[in-house]
Amino acid sequence: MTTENILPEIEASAHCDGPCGVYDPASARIAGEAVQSMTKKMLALEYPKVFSSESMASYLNTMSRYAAIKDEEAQKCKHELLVLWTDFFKPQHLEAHPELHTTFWQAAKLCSACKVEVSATHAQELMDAIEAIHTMFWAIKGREVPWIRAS
Amino acid sequence: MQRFIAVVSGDSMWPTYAEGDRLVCSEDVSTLAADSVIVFQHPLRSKVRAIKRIKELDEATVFVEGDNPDPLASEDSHNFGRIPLSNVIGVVLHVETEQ
Repeated sequence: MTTENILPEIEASAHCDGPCGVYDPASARIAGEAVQSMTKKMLALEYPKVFSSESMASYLNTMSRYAAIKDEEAQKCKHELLVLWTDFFKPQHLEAHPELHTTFWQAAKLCSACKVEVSATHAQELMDAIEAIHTMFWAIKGREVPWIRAS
Repeated sequence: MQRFIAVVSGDSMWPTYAEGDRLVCSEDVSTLAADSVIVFQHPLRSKVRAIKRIKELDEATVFVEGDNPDPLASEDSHNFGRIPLSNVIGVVLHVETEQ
């Protein structure tokens, strides 16, 4: 029973200026997986056993393509994370997730580290950070969405 | 003057009002002032009634803003400009309380 329970009722919109319903950390996760996949391929690629112009050209071509994709996907991942951080997450979300800023900052730093290095450790740490963001994001949205990888 | 309940949908008035808050409003808008929280007809979407705080007003229009400090958290006069006073439906009096 409320004091004004017989009053007419309307909905009063207090929404943001953007399409707040279409954010999804999946785009960062896909880019992060590509970074990790390219990192693994670079570390696994074997140096040619027979040295020749042809074998070296093939090796360098493959390695440089892996490196280019890794760099591009790491930049894409950072972009997707920054959009989530600055556009989706709001000050009120810090109440329930005080680690939010640190998590995003570290994730963005790991994107840079994965560009500079060929580090399986940092690639895995990037995926771990994206998973933490995935968990925070869906908790805020009030939905249970499992962490599923494509690779 | 008639009163009505406005149920908040969204975060733009956080931390003053949260999603789902039920606000008792008055249709008497004769004493509107800067800092009043109002319910009004959205100027660009005929089916939407919005809630914001008046930052400033003149004889014919008001400039409204959300309370949320995040610059992306509120669609308000920064987006759609000043709204005519004729769009104002009511002014918030208080949060509905249970007895």
